[in-house]
Amino acid sequence: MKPRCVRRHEPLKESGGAAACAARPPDSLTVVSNRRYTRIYAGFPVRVLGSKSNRDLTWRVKALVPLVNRINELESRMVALSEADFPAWTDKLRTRLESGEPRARILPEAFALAREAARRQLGERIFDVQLMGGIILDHGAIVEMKTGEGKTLASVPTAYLNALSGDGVHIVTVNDYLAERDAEWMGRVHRYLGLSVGVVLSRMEMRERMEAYACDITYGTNNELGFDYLRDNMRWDADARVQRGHRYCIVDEIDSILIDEARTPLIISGAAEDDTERFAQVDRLVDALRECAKDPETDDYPEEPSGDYKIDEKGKRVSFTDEGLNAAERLLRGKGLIRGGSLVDDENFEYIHYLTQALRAHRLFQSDVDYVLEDATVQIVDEFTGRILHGRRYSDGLHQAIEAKERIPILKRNRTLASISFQNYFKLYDKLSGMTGTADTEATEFSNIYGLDVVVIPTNRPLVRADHDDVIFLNEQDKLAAICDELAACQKAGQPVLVGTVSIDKSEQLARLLHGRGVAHEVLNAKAHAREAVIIAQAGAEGAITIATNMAGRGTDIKLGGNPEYSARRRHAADGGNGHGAEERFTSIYERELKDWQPRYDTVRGAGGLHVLGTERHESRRIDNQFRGRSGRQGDPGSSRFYISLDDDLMRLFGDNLRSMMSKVGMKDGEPLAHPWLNKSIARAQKRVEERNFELRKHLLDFDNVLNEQRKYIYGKRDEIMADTDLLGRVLETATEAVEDLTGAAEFSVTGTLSALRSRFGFLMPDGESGHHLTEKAEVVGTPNFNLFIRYEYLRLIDARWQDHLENLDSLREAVYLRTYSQKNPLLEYKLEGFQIFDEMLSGIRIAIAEKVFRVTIRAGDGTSGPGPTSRRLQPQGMATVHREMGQFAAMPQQGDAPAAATMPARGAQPP
Amino acid sequence: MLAIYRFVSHIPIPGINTAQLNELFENNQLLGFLDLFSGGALSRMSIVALGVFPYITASIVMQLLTPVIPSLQQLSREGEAGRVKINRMVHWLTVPIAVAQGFGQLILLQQSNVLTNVGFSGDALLPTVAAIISMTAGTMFLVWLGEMITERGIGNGISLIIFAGIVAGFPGLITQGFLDRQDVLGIGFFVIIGVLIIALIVLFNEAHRRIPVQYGRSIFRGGRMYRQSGGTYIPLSINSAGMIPLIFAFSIVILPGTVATYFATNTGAIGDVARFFADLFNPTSPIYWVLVFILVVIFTFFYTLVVFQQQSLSENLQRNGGFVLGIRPGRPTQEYLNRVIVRITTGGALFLGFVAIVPYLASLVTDVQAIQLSSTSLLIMVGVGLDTLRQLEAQLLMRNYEGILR
Repeated sequence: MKPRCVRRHEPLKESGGAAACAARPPDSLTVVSNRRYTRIYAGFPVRVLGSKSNRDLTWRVKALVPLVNRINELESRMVALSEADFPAWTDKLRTRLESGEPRARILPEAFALAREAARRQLGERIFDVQLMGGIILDHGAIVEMKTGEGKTLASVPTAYLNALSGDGVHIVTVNDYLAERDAEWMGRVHRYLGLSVGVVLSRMEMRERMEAYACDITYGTNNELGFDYLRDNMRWDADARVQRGHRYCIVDEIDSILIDEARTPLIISGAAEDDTERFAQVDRLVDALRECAKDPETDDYPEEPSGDYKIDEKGKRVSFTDEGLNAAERLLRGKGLIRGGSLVDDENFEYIHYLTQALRAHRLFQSDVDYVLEDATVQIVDEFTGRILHGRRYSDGLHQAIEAKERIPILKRNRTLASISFQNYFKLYDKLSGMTGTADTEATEFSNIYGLDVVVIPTNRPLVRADHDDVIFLNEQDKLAAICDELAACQKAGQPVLVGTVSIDKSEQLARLLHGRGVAHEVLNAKAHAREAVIIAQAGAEGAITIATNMAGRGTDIKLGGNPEYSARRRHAADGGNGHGAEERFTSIYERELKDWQPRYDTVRGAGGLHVLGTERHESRRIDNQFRGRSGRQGDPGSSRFYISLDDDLMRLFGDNLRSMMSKVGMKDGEPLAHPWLNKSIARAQKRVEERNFELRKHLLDFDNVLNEQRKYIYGKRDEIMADTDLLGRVLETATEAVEDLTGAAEFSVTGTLSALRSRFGFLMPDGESGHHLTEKAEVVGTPNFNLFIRYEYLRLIDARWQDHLENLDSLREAVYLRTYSQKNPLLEYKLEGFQIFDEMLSGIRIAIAEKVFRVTIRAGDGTSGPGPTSRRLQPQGMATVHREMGQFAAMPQQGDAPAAATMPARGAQPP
Repeated sequence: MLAIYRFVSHIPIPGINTAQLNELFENNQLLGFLDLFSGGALSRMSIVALGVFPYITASIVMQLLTPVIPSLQQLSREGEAGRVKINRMVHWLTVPIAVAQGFGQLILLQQSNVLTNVGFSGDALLPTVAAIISMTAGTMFLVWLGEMITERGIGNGISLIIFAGIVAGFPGLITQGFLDRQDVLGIGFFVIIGVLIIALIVLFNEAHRRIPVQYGRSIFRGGRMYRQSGGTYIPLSINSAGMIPLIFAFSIVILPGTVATYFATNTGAIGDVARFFADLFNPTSPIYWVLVFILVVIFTFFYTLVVFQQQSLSENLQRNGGFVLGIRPGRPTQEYLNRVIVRITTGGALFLGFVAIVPYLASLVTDVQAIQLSSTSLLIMVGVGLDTLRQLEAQLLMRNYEGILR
């Protein structure tokens, strides 16, 4: 074995590429009963890995070579195993791990085992580079592998190894579709190895979720995992939680989740009582107001604008001018909505907010761009994934304003019940790693904020995609016309094209144009999401044109010549699907499909492979690169080109007024522009947006850290209370302290103290007597029940106050920037004041719970319908709380021998 | 870090006669003032003799230039990236200022016969250039040190460096006071006054008028309950100008006196005029202090208003959808805020003026002349001290929060 090891080292040093990792020719492997092993890989010569990524081949990757060799050596042993041996091996490895053997020693065997299982189940042998990626993942770092290199497969051995401990491994994907696909696809391997695999999808019920989380490996989207965490921490019973801890997490497309989506935190909200009528009233006034005239020269507002309001597209804000406020006041008064006083007076000023939101809804948020209308509801479209975020609502009344604008029923405003940013959610994990095709540009951010290194893994096969230069037009019409020309030409040549658009609206606009020209095409956007799988499966077919939003941007695998497996599945399902012998039938169908597919594949290859056409540059280079990455996968040929017009949002908002400059220079419409200077300007615009977004994320994180500390504290306390069986003692202690505080405050007035005590706790002395009363209360209903009562009351208090606190913090955050006017650091002030109000909240909770417990009166029930031990599941709302004064407590008939299972018609105290 | 700074401040630049230097410092107000900022480094003529003063000058210059030059204004609005750029400009600006100030100081020293070889010709060239380069490098090193402190440690590094310099000079000052006069009572009295003044400064430093601000959003979000949550106000400091008016005023007052001293040895009319001015602007004359007082008040107003206009508060408020209850956004708000700021700055300016002349008053009362209990240094100390404390507190809160919920 040793000499081979050395031999493998050498080419690595020479070429700088990971030539050593080049797999043995696949045909040297015995094919053990594999139906899909005849994939394209077999036909390709194994090439030396790209030397392009020389600089990326860090010592870290090089150091892995001996380890990879070990795994390769073990391979022959694994090939010889029978199917039943795999779970047995898993058990063996598990025991070894439990007996304290370091994971590093188990790694080679686990990886070799997983590799063999994957080969048998998926027909794909995990390449050496993928193994390297897997090892890096195990180190808790970010692996950058070029798109189409099989990142998902690389995570399989790592997930397997980490799942051996049984603590659960979470694998995060960007959307439900991928979660389901990966859980099914990769799940086959894990199940073959004897592990359980679950998937969490947005439509699932609590019980299904619980089962999924109980599995060794759980797939899910970042949203679902985060929401489950928040929901878990709103439960009143430790058993009702679905997650069981945060040990290890592999995030697929980690840059998308931790960077692109990090700007918007996860928020769970509940309806709040509110008057929605005003949104509709105000909505009618919007047309009467007019925007300030812009200076045509600079495309910006002049110093002294005339008009009612100004729009800030970058910040998505609207602000009124003096003139506008007068107009608004006039309008509102005309409608009889405000009377007396001026608009800025105490009772009227909220209308300013309604009006602002109405204007934003009308001017800054567009149907089919920012949201879609579905069953008379407004559904937000995620700007990064292009998918619908079901059930999410804009905050601060914007959603209501949009509903008013669209003339659909206005739902009540939401109130934040819990929130967390992705940054802080993923920091919960003991170990975090991730993979993506585009992390390198953001490596600094990953290491600064998450402490994650980025390691670039060389490609398995050199990338042969041709990335053409951008084509730039002065206006959008010309650009679209040129795009249509190119699309028609490609279709004629038989080359499939994937067209990337930035919004649903844009995708449909282009579709209409193509329709007018009679060019056949498919549209993939959030509206067509049910057909996503079909469209993607055929996107690589000869002459196919697929117009897509960002939905097709990440993780989408487009097979040249169409996807034979998919059509086989369809045919199989049409044939009646399941039942006896289904497996064999599928295999035969699949083989037929595969035979049909091969010539199709060759044709498309000959036509130049998939062409990716971007109709606009995105906010960040990473998204562009992801889109490009749909082409040229696994060494296939391909090409890409972006079309840009100076009318695009990016260029308009961040492009140095290029447009007016170009017209001044005398550029004519209709002709494409090409100038290195232009390219530079585009890159600069993109960079500016990236910087801006980085700043936003950093800002969000800085402030969220305060909340995060407090959230951790509160959630920790909730856990303690849920686990505590002697809450009475806890409350007594609290009360004693609170009494001491009060005594201290009222030191000079004995009567004052006494009355304070009486009103607060309903007792006179902090010790002896009161404790006695409490014990009596506990005896009446039985200690466990009393404990339960206290727990629910406690949790309810904490939750309610915490939610108030969240809103308080929010408004503090909004206002704290004002502190810069006295040369104070707003973040610092936010921390100090944030913790100050947190402290106040905590002491408020403490006193309130003591009050409640002391003043509650207990009456033993009849005992027949007693919930008994099962009452643990009871949600607190089920408990009757009756208001009662303390004096009545003494008058309560003593029912000493209350049955153990006494009901809890416990009597709550009147709020002071 | 600060230890490094203290160490460096004891390395003299080449070719300095220390004994003569000390003599000089005892007789010159301007130098004494500058010495304050360098924490005694100047009186030892060390390589960090200039301290971070050139950097501060550069920052002030940039700050005053920002509203004047449109491109700078745009930069300052571009957020983080713009700020980084402006910061870099300040750094570059610091270098020529440091060179100029360094040269000026050498000239000054030559006039007082501490140095002999200053100039750019012949023999003098090499030592002069060497001295200037080492002083500039020393300043830049300090700036770097300060930024490292800001980045890695607690508080604003630059202010901390000044702070350290001042504090380091304290023991020396006090013992000097004791040695000069064995009047324990006087010293004690002086200390009491010092403490009182510090308390006063703390009070004024923290004092601000809170202008309550209402956001349409907050009421919408929280209903009536959060209307007056207390957090939404603009704190308008009584003393928002900080110590800058003091620096300006002293620099201006000292300058004619110092210049005059150089010409005082001349004979004839020039000498007479010079002597007259030298007497007039002598720190022992009441006129000097009256002038200081007036200048401080004027500069406070000037600086506060310039800075305040620059912040365009009302515009920002409007953009964020906030307003002062009962007052229309836009111009009326601006006028209202201006009125308030003028009113409270009146108090602040008088206070600053008072602080500026306190040393004189104190020495009148106590007769302890030798102690230069500079008001400016007190102001800096208090400001920096308070700031650092707050940062520390916030850090501790974030690190290990021990709540009280049970």
